[in-house]
Amino acid sequence: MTKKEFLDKLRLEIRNLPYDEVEKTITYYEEMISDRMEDGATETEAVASLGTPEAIARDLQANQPFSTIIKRKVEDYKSKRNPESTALIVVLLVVLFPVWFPVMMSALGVIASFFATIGAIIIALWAVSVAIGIGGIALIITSSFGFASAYIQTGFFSIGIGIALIGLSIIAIIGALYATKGIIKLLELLIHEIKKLFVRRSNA
Amino acid sequence: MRYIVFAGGHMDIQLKRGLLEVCVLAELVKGDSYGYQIVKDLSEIVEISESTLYPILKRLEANECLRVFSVEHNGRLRRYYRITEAGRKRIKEFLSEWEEVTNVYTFISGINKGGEFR
Repeated sequence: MTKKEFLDKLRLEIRNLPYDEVEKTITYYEEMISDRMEDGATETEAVASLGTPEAIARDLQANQPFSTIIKRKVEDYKSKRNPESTALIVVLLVVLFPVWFPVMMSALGVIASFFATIGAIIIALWAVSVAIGIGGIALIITSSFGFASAYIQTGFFSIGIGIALIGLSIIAIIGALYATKGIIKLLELLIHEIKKLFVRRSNA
Repeated sequence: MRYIVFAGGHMDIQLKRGLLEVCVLAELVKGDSYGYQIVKDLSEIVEISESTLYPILKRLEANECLRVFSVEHNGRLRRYYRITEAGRKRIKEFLSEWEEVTNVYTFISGINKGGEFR
């Protein structure tokens, strides 16, 4: 591949990145090839040492936000279609509506319930932690009834259990905090992996 | 268990990225340099290619750890990189953070005297 072929190909692969970004990238790789050639490499060698434009584009794309990746997929599709196939797709979409609509809705349902479950887990963790603490406070308050009446032992017993529950609640809240952070981190990783899946496919 | 493996792999990439960033800054302490020269100098100590360097330079520029300027060379423009005060501070922070890591390393390799983890 010549330098020009390489740069043209790269420009095509990253065309959906912001204009500024495209120009910067092209300038960078152009300089790299020139410098390698000045260092004694032939044009072909210099280009080959950089890796394929597809691989470079894939790495750059993976660092882009999700919206940019989806936009690129849509544009890819738009540039490939022709009027005939578009008409066919529209007809198929209409005819097969009873088939794909329920499938799509259930897919959306699965995704929604996935997030709802995760949300529910987080809420449950916090609710339990806080509830234990409230129980503890309630016990300490009710212990005064014990002191007020003749049952002093009951009063001490209530205070003791109440303090223990508050302690437990603090530990549980700390646990819930870490669990929440962990779950969020896991979700971020998941989204990153899904993003990579999209980018791979579009270039495969 | 899966989560641990997962997070481990993720950490390694982050770690390598961070190390390379400081490597590039350290290289620039010696003087202003340009992309190809940086790759050539650094590849003697660490595995680095033009394509790995590019996002690193971009991030360092965004964090204002370095400044970019163009110099004419053989009838074309070459982009040079110069370290900033923020960049120097970053190296300092790295060195103090890694004192601890080196201590841990010495400790672990001390246990490995018998060579069982080789």
